[in-house]
Amino acid sequence: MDKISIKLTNVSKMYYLREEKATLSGSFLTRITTSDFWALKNVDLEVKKGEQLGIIGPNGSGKTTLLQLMAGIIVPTKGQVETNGKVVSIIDLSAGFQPELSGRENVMINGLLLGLGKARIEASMNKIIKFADIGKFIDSPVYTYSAGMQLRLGFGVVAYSNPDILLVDESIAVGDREFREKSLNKMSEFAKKGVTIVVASHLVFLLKRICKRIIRLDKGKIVSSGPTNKMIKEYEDLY
Amino acid sequence: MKNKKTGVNYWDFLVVMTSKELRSRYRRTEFGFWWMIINPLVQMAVLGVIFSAFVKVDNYFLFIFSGLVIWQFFSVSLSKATSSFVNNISLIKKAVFPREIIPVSIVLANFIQLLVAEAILIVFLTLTGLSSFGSLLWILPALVWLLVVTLGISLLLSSLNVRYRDINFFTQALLVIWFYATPILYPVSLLPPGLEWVLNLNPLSSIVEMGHLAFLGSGELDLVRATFNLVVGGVLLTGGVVIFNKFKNMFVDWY
Repeated sequence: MDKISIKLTNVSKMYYLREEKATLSGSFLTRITTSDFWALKNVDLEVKKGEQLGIIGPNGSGKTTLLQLMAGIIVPTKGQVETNGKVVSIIDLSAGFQPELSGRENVMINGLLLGLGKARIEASMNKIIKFADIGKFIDSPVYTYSAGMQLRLGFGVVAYSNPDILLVDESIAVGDREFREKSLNKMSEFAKKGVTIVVASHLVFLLKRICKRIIRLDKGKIVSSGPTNKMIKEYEDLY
Repeated sequence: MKNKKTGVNYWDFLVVMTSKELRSRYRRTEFGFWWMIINPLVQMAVLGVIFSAFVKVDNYFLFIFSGLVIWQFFSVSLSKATSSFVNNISLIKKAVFPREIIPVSIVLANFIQLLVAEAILIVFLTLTGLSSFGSLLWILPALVWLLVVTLGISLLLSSLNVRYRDINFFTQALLVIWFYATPILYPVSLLPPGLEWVLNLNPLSSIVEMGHLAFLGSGELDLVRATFNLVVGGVLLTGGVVIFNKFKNMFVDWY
C-alpha cells in the first residue's frame, strides 16, 4: 500500500431513485416508488502515489460519485475503498461553507475541517486571503459571494492545506482566466511535490495540463484508460 | 477525538463550532446573551401568576425558575440539534471528520449559556440570602447528568432526522408534552398516584428535583425514581450512539 495512494476493489454504489408521481388528489399526496440505480458498478482502480489521474465521461456516468467515494464522503454499497494519506477535495463548491459567516470565519472552519491545526490556519490566513483575492468581501457573509468568489476562497484554503491526495471536479471552471491560471499553477506545484491528484472534468486544458493518465467512465463502468492525449482524442471523437 | 488514519486532532474544530453557534445565535440582536435570562424570566412571571392560583408551594417563582432554566437548555438543545445534520450537510459533504461534532457543538453552546444562567441565579440567591451553599452543591450532579442525557437524545434525534424528516416535527410535539411531564410547574407530591410512572420514565424528573434541592433547599428526590431515570437516560444514550454509528455513513446519501 506504500506506493499506492488510492485503491478501489470491486466497488459498486447503488442509490434508490425516488419517483414521486402525483395521485388523483393532486399535488398534496404523492405516490412514492423507489427503484435501484447503480451509479458505479464493479470498479477496480489503483492510483499510484504522486500520480495525476483524469476521469472523463458524459454527465451521469459516475465521475462525481467516484470522487466522493475516494474522499470517503460516501461509502460503497459493495467493495472496498482504501486511501493512503490526507485527502482534500473540491467537489461541491458550496461544500464546507456556512453562508451566514464571513469569509474569514469560513476559512477557519474549512481549514479545521480539512484537519489543519488552528495555529497553522491563523499563520496562513493572510496568504489564503491573498490567494483568494476577493478584496473586502473577505469580511462579508459568504451568502453574498458569487460562485467565482466561493471557488477562490475554497481553493485558497486547499492551496495551503498540504494534501497527500487532491480531488477536483468541474466546479473549478467557474474561475476567471486569471484565477484559472493561478489554480493550475498551484496544482502543478502540488504535482511536482508528489501530491496525488484526481480530476473529474470535461475541461481539456485542465486535463492536459495536470493529468498523465485518463480513465473514461460510461454508465458507471470504466470503459477505457490510457495516456492523456490519446484519451482526449478518443473522447472527442465519441461525443 | 482523533482521526486514526491521519492522526488529526479535531478538538479545535469542536471549539470553533461551539463558539460559532454561540455567536451566530445572537448576531444582530440588541440584548444578545441576556435573552437566555429574559426568556425564562418572562415565562416564570406568566406561568407563576397563572399557576400560583392552583399550586401552593413556598417560593413558587423561584421554584418555577430553577426548573425553567434546566428546561430551557434541554428544549432549545433538542430542537436545534434535531435538524443539525440536515442543516450542516454542506460541512459533511466537504470532508471526513467526526460527524458527532455537529450536534455536540450545539448542545455545548447551550450548556455554556446554562452555566452562565445558573451562575447569575446563584449570585442573586447569595446576595439575597435566599439559599444556602450546602444545598447549592446539588447543582453539580444535576448539570453533569443533564448534559449527558441531552447529548444522548440529541444524537439519537439528529441521526434519525436525516432518514425520517418527520422526526423534526415529532420533536416539536414531543417537547410540548415533555414540558408538562416534568415537575417544573408542580411539585411531585401534587401528582395523582396513578401518574407516577410518567416521572419514572422521564429522565429529566430527578434532574429538576436536584435543581429544586439546590435552589430551594428542599426537593423530592426519590431513590427508586432516580434509578429509573438513570436507566431510561442510559438506554436513550446507548440508543443514540448505536443509531448514530449505524447511520453516519449514509448521511450524504439520504440527504
